[in-house]
Amino acid sequence: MIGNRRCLALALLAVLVMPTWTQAQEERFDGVTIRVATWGGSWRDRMQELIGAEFEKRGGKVEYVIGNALENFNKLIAARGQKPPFDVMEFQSDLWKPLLDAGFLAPLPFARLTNAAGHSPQQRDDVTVSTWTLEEGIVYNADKFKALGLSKPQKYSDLFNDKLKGRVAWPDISYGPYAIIGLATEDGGDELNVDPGLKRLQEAGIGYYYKSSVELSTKFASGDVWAAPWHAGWAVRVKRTNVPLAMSFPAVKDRHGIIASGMVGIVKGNEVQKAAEFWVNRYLSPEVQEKLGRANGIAPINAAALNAMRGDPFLAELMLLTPEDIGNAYSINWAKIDLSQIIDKWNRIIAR
Amino acid sequence: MRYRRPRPSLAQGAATTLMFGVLVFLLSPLLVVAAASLGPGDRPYVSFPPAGFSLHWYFEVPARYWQAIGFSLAVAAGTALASVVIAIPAALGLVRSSFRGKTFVALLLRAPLQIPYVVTGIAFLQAYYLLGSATGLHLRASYPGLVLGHLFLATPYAIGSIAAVLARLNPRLEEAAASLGASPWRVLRRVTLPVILPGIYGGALYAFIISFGEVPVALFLGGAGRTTFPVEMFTSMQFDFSPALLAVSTAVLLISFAVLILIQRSIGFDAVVRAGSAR
Repeated sequence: MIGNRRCLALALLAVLVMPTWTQAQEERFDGVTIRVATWGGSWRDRMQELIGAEFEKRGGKVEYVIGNALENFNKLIAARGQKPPFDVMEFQSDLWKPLLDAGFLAPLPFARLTNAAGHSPQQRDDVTVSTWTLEEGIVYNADKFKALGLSKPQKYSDLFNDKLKGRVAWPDISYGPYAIIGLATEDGGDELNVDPGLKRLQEAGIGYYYKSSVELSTKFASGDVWAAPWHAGWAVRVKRTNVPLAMSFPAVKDRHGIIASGMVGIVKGNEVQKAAEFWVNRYLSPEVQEKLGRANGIAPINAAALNAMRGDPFLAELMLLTPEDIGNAYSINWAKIDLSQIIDKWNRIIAR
Repeated sequence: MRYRRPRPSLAQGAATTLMFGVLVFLLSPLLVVAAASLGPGDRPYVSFPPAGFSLHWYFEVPARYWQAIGFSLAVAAGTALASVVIAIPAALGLVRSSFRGKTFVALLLRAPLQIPYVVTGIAFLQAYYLLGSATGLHLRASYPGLVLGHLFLATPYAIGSIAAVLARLNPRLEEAAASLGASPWRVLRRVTLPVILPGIYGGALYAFIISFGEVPVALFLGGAGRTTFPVEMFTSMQFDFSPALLAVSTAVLLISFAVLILIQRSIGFDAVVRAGSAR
């Protein structure tokens, strides 16, 4: 039988040894430089704060290749057969199929990506994993709507109300096809047939098609625009400055709102696989997911982070924050959509 | 008899008013940016007129903007210097020589002006990859790579600026120097170059401005740690907006004005503008 003194000595030894053991377990990246392709501005700053700083604490170095995902995709095309220009790439649903078809991404070792364990099959495939959900709907000025006696818009075509004439902004096709698909579904269309939406939009005679969200946020703040199809992230950021915005997720077929995913993948041919895996896994951690979600008004994939955000009444008012609500939003079939055809039609019918 | 200044006619008054109107119209976007940068509070949009006065955002400009400005200045200076080094002999050849195919060569030297910048960016990127795999020399996302790309865009302007001054240079000046025993090199150094100096300054200034403000080529040829200021601003605006952007833009604006004043004081801006406009 072990005596009390020996027991105490063993416990002390365990306390002394534990930190060293933990440190030994912590993966180190001394001398490793990882190149991450991501968006610029405050998004990059947040990536550095939440993931990059932790990587650097472990001895590594981070270099950011900033630009939108399409530009970075073009860089991969130009570099085909050569060393890739970056190791990890962030993108959205619209580039998911082109990236898969081009074969630029390496298989993700999900056995080692412990933070992806809770992902559903819809949130990951062999080479990509979802990092957040973007929630598209209608952002509107609640005070103006109240003054006009208008109720919360229930469908995209509610924006064509005469009382709102000249005060509605509609996204240009370069923003994404979400709103035009949503409008098309009101007359039997969908992402494979946007013609009904284009016809309806043409008839509505919208005067202002916005190309930049910064431009739109300025117009919302100045009171020039009262309603626009937009995503909840911007509603969150603008409402924080006391602009009286509200959010509606209009009917899209039998669902409400449209969702798109942020995704991440490791580029084939990279020379820093372990570091890239660390990056992806850290991105999916509850801590990073929640902080990123709160700051940008995007819904985390991680269930615990989503749950934590649900407790914030400000966010809960503007976002879909339950798995049920998110699951009930319309998800575009990115495998079948022909974006170039939609853009072509847009240019012929709306932008001419 | 006391001289009486003639009263300005109605037409002169209208022209002056129009001139000031145009000036205000041209400068108003810059004034809005500068004024909006003084607004307090964090907001993801431009607020004008500002709700108050604060220099807060001037102290909150992220370091990446200053780094990008430093890198852009270095690239633009390299481009300006290299473009005049190329442009001087090219302009001398075009203006002074007579050879078969001169028109074709002149057209070729202007060809970069006809090519969209995005196409130039992709073409250079592909070329750098090919060069890298063939020789091991990797120019993508490097300082020399970006300067080369910008050189392609800026050199036609520098050639035009120098050639315009050179064409107006009286050849008798050089003939006189030569007849007094000066060697061709001495004539070039002591007569030709000093006379065409405004053209050289003008060419360098145009090259600098083109390089400093260029986005599409830098977007493709830049990379990790090699981001120019306009690309940094462009990509920031694509995702988000911070009043710090207005602050850093105003700071760059003030620096640009300071440089223009410096040029005016040292060499005379009129000479530079004349050289450029004579293209």
